Amino acid sequence: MIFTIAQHELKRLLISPLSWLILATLQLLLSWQFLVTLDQFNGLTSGQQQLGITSLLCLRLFGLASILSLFTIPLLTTRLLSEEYHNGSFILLNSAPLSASTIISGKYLALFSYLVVLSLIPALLISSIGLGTELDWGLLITALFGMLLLNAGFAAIGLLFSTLCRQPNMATLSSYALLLLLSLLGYAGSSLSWQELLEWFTWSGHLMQFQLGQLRSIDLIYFLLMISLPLLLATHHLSAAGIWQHTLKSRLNYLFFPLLLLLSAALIVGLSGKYRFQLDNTATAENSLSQQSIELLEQLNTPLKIISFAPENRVLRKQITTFIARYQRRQPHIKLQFINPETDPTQARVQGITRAGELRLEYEGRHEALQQLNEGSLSNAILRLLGQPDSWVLSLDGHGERTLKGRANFDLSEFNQALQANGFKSHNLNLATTGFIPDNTALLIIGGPRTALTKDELQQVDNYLTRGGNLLLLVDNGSEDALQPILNRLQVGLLPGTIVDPSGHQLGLDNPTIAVVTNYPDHAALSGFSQLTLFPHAKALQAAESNIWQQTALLVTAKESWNETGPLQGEISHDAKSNEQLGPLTLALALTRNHQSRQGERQQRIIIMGGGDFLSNTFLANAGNQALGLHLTRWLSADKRTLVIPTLKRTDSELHLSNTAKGVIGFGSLIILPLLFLSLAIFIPWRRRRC
Amino acid sequence: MNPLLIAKNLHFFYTQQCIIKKLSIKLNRGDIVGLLGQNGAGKSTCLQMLSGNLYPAEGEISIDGSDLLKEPEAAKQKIGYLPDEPPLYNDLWVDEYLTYAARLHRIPSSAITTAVNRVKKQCELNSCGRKLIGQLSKGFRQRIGIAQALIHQPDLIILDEPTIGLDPVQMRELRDLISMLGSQHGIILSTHILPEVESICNRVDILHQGEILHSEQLNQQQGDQLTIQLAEPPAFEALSKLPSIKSAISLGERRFLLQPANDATNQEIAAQLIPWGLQVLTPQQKSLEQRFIQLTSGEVQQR
Repeated sequence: MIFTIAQHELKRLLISPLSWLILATLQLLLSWQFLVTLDQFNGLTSGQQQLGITSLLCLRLFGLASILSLFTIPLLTTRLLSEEYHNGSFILLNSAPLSASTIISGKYLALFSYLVVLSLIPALLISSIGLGTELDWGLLITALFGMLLLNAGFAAIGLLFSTLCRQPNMATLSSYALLLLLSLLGYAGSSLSWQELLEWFTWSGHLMQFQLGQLRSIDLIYFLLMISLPLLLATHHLSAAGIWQHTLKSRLNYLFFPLLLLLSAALIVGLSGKYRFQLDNTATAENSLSQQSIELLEQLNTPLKIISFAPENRVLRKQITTFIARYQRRQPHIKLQFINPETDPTQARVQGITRAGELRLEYEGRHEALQQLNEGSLSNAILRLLGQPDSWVLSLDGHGERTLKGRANFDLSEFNQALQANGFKSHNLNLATTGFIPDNTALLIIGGPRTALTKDELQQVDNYLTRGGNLLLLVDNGSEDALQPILNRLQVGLLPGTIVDPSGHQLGLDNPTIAVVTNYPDHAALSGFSQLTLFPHAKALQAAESNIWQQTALLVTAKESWNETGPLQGEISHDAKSNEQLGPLTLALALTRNHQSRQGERQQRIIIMGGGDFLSNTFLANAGNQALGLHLTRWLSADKRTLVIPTLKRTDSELHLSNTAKGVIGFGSLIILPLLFLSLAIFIPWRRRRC
Repeated sequence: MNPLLIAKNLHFFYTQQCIIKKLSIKLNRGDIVGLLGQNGAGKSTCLQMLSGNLYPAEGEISIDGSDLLKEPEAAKQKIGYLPDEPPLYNDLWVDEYLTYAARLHRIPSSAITTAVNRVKKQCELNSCGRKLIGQLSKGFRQRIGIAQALIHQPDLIILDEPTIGLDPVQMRELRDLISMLGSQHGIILSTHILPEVESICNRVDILHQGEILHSEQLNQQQGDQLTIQLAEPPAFEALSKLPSIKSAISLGERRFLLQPANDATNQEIAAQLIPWGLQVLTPQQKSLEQRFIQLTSGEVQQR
């Protein structure tokens, strides 16, 4: 019987011009949006896209389709019952041996079948570009599923008002009113405690998750309630129609069911907060954490506090909350707190926050600051906070070196603070007193000794390197002789003089002895690092052929730089006759080799810098120097200390459609199909009248 | 045999106002009951309740043993109902509409075409199977409405002013159809056309302000009063002592007003009067109308 009614309703829908006009309009608007989006996508350089073409189209097309649904569905639902009450045809149904649930189900089924077709339009448009790219099908199907749920929900609400209102206009208006309310509620709240609740009621946020390829229990429950509640209420009203008006008792009886229904809905929503699940259906798992991060989070065993200094901006804070939620799902120890830097500037200053939107992570008394929010940066920050309990960064002391504990201008004490804030343990090491380099040394820093190391000390360093120890060697002017034995051992030579780099002039630097580095090679030590760095009074290195070490030039100066051997005074220029070489000159070398030990094979890492001034207290704050120092230290100090989060390789980041294909898709979807639907809107009623 | 329809003590209120009061109706197979009443007397409300389209505040309705209020689906299967406005879809063809009505009443698919053709023939709709209902005239629409009520051959047929909008020829054809159907089904119809009631109904219930004021059996063979004219009238006593006559009044000029005995038919009376040269025998048709006006206006005067 349900199918009899559904078939009848669907037939009446398809013989009415309204359904074809809606189809034509939808097809026209969606394909217009589709072609515009494709055009924009091709206009940008490929590979730089924030989103793949599938997600971009899903967001735009299903977004537009949802707005169109909002405006068309009440027109369609009004026909289902309200209009039948109005013109008397409802009596045919009401006199027939049918239950209220049969009538509601039949009518709903018919409308839903039509809405499936409407929802398929954007999906088919998007799948048409499968000709030119590898579509993210998981994402597309999830987005389509979300669209179906939304349409089903809108249809249920419309049908409820169609059942309640005897006046068709009233039914349409009431549906619009409720749907608009559910659309705008999330934007109305100002106080933050209500905000979350209001946002829960708003459909757009839930739909967005589907369009991002995420299937979350909270969104599913929202839409399932949006579908089931109105349908149950409509059935209840239709079956109680007429009875409830008679006495006070029957009125109370009538109201009992809706109350019970709303209570159980609230209960379901409440429980759903406790038992959540989430599926990421995108091809590249864009919404999920990488395995590395998940393993990292398992190591957290006390609360990790994340404080965001984001201003009170709904969209910004929502993004942060959503992002942190990925971590919170894996690790409930993580707590997120917002501090508005505008209203609470003292807090921000105390915490050393310089930029709005910065994050501060606190774990077991240590802290980390974070300026970019992505998985790589956050996971690495957590990793640094976790620290490695038994490994040390030691700086050699006793020969006039730059040391971590020293407080002179050329010393590294400020860098030391940065190291500690990032979870490193550090100390100075005087070989004359300790006599050896401890086994738990993760990294040894030799900061340009002024006097030569004793034979014994050199032997200790040599042993350390033989044991596979990691080393940061800062070769300063004046320390060449002291370091020569170590450089020899590492098979690295030096160019005489100091690097002069005129390229700094363009950046407003009036001191040509500061070398500027802006581009970095693709190397694990520098992964994710892109800031400008400045190297005062640096020396150039020269790698010799080595069969032991794998050498990589980490930092390279500009083409116009050279190593000036003359005095750095007055007018200076490149003198090709002397031992001066033009750039690019090597400023830093990374040396690696595989080292076999009892614990197994690991990589030994050494970085030789042509100068340590960039890390000194005087210059550390300049440009990206501190960050570079931290990056290098992290890479050097241990294998495990830096997570390399694999970058997403989207399959659909490029689109290659032939002109013919474009033409067929564009012409077909923008002109042929809308015209076809439009002509059906005219032809079908005309044909039926002619019979 | 169980009565086809038993409605007991029905009440209906509309915004605190009592529309139907203590209404009880009983109907057997073969009965054609006319529900007579002024506009606003509650005829349509009453029929809506009997068809299951309105829910009474109080009372019971049973259709051939099925309780309409407690098991409406079983009961509604036995009812065919034509409301005051036929329940039509203007955008459908007549055939499509009747097929849908047949399906809704659970007629098996194999029998649907036969059923549609049958009602189209009964209601003279053969010519307009593929016409849009919205384009048809009032008379056609009314007949489609009737066809819809008959399609599943219901035991009880409820017709709310069935002849409205029909021309005199169609009206007579419809009355014939109703008389014919009345032999196998129970029919209850509302109208305010008195001759219609008298010509087709075998019972009339007069409804006034939500109550049944008067219910009486009608017999077309047995007119309430007869006016006769005789060529050779006998003595007045001889006439009044005839077995089939209860009483007689002399109207002068060989004319008499007779009140027939309860079970006497007009044929019997005529046969007995022929020896005296029966010239005219006219049933007193005004009687129902008189009673109707008397009952309904009397009530008005009392208020």
